[in-house]
Amino acid sequence: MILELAYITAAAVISLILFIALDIFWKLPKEGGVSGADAISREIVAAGGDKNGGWMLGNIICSPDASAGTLLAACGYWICGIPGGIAVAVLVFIGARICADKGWAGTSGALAATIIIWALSTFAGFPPEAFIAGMIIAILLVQGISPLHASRALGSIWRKI
Amino acid sequence: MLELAAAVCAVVAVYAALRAVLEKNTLRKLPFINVMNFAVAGIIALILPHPLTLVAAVAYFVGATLEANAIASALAKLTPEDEP
Repeated sequence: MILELAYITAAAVISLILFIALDIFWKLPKEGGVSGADAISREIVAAGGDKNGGWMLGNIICSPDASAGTLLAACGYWICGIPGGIAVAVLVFIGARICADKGWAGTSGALAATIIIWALSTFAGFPPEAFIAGMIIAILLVQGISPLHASRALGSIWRKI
Repeated sequence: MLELAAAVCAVVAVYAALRAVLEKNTLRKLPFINVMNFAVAGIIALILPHPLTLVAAVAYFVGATLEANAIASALAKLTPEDEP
């Protein structure tokens, strides 16, 4: 039980770092990529949050980004192994186009997560389902506790980089 | 491990749903609903490991983000911009 919780905690930290790094790499906090993201950012700013962090949260909500790619790749790898992860990357690419998002964050997130989960489950003994639970905890930390404070933290990370 | 992962997803889904219900502002509900969608997509895959379930989880998740985008952009058009 304690070992399983440790795996889930480690998977949550790895997923959190992976999707925030990829979202910042694809410049999600720079602007609202889709129209709904702008509205969410304005609402977060009106409540006292950060504009860039708000755009990033808006983009996460309004189109499948690296966080969605990581979660769905974990599901795909758990069900079908590496082919499942690649299938998810293709489906996320189609899904992002359906949401009028021209970016590559979701697809690259799914591929990167598949490689990381394959490496960690093959060489470090991580159960792939730990990444499903871990990613849920990671997105809970970013969006589910306090979007205001998360937007400020993400905005300050974006400005530092 | 499977039970623990599913329990984590279920607890997070219920927590996020409660936060969304308690939040009054529609746009501020969306982050919590997004967390709930993540958790439900995870549960769909965990509860029935089959390739078609994977497609269902992706379809559910993409549909949910599309709906969130539609709600947010429709509300943005309804309310006048109050930024200078």
